[in-house]
Amino acid sequence: MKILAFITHKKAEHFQDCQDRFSINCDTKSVAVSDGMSQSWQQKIWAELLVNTFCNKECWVPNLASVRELSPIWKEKVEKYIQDLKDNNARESLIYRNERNLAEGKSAGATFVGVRFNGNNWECDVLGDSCLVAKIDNKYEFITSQDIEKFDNHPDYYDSDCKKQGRGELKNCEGLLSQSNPFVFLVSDPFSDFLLEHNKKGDIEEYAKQLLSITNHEEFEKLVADWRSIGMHNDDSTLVIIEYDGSEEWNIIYQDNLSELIQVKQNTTQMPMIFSKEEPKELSISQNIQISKEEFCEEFIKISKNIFAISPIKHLLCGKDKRRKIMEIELMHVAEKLYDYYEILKKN
Amino acid sequence: MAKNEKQWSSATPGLLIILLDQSGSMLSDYEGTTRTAFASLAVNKVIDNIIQKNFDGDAPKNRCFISVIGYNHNVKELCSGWLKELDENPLRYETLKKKTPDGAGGICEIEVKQPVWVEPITQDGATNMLGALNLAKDLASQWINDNPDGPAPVIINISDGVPYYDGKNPRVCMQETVSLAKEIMNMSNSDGNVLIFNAQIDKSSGTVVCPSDRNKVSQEEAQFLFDITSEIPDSYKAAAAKNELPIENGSRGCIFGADGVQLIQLIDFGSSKGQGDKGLA
Repeated sequence: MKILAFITHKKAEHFQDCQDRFSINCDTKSVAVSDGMSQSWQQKIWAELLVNTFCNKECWVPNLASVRELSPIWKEKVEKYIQDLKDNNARESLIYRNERNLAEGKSAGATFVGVRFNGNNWECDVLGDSCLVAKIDNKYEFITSQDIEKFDNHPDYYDSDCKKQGRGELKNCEGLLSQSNPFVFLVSDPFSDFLLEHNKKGDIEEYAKQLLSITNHEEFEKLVADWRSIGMHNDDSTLVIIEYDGSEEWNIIYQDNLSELIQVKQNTTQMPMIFSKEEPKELSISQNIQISKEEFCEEFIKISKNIFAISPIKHLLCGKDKRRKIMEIELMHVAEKLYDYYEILKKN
Repeated sequence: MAKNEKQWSSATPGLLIILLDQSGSMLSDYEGTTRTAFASLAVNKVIDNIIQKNFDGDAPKNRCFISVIGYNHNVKELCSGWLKELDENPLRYETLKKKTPDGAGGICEIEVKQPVWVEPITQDGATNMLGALNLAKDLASQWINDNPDGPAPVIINISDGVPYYDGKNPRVCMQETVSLAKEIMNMSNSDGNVLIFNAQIDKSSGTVVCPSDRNKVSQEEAQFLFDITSEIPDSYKAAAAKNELPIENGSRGCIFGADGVQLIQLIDFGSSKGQGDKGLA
């Protein structure tokens, strides 16, 4: 069977903010998707732990007892994360906020959907509004632990704190992938909601075809943007497609690598406009100017940002990011002219 | 009709403006400290809590822009920024004592860190509430232009009295301020009208929480604040219940003679649009 997996973040956020996680393991023939809940803490670690445990341990079934056993592992990972922050002299607020949440016993919540294959037979475990969508005899089945009419902001979830109950009961379901049951989708809630809506309208087939036609990340991003513009809600969005191809062998055609996407985005995205209150560094122009054009311009922009930091609300009043961006470009021109000027001085 | 239902999110961020009275009367004693220290601590705690609620372990999500504006005879921006910027740039951290269960049925006192963005005042001054509301109006107006479909801005005013500026008769100041506040409350975007909530740091009227009737407060200063307060929209009722604020039909978002908990509850309530997204039980 053919496997493809895609993930993206909310509009106006970045991959590093994405709280969905998925995992695929061809050895155990398992796939899982988990959606970390926004108003919880260290939910990315929790979602990752859930999907990796399900996919890497063939006999592991996610129930209240087995999930509780993951609790100390989550806590250990969080404590290590905080220790790493301290060892790397991270920002004070980052350490303060994590330590405060740890001391106050704050935990993570995450929904879960996982499927394991034995040949072409599959068995699915699901909790919350992440769900498995299966095409069975030309009809679409939505497998979720919740009443599908009651998807809201409070889905069923597993809690990373073993003393807390979480919400809802795990649902288990079985099925078969075949020519007449040609694919299953594992999806996080924006897709669940959207596909469900179109199932009710009777035009889901058209949208399922669009999902099956995606072959790479760029196409997935375009589809998500298009679907958001016609009503899919803006949230982290994950899709795993498992499609029947006549073989029981697992063939991963494409899968996004979230770590790489985070890295690529960090390297290519400009730093957001952040009003830093660092003291501006003095820029000294000595007779022996040892500064490249790029360094000089960057320094100039840094100083300008510090100047802007004096009054963020004045910026708000004179416009939003777009206008600030224009101002930044203009400042860059000024910086370049200044550089040329100093160059002339140096030559003279 | 728009109902102020939009949640704060990274794609649809909210604007929270806190107006903080820094006039000379705020140097008076209140709840074991001064009014100014009491109100400043409440504002610092609320900013801290909003950041904490939107913190996922790596950074707070930029789900709102907060601006704190202080007013005496002048109007001054005390701090402003997106949650990430505020988180990264407190003025300082202070250490507070906090009572907490000791795990054996008793209470113990522990030291907790508190970031500080707003400091109490030390000098006397007038009460240019009108100027502060004017700045808030400009901010809200620009915000609405830029975010026609985002959550409507929320303004929370913390004061111990009535406006007094430019040597004018306080009654004239009150009339001018009420008139401006009404203009602001009539501003709207697709989500709803701009909301103004008020907290009075003065116990002369006793403690009155979210009244629906102006006559429930007898003091003229309190009645003035009632007049410049929005009615609580239905969409805020769940948040009111969560913050233990007793409300009924027609209740206004104001508290008179607030204690520390109530003041934080009111501000927390005003920013409750930042707390509705996928919460735990």
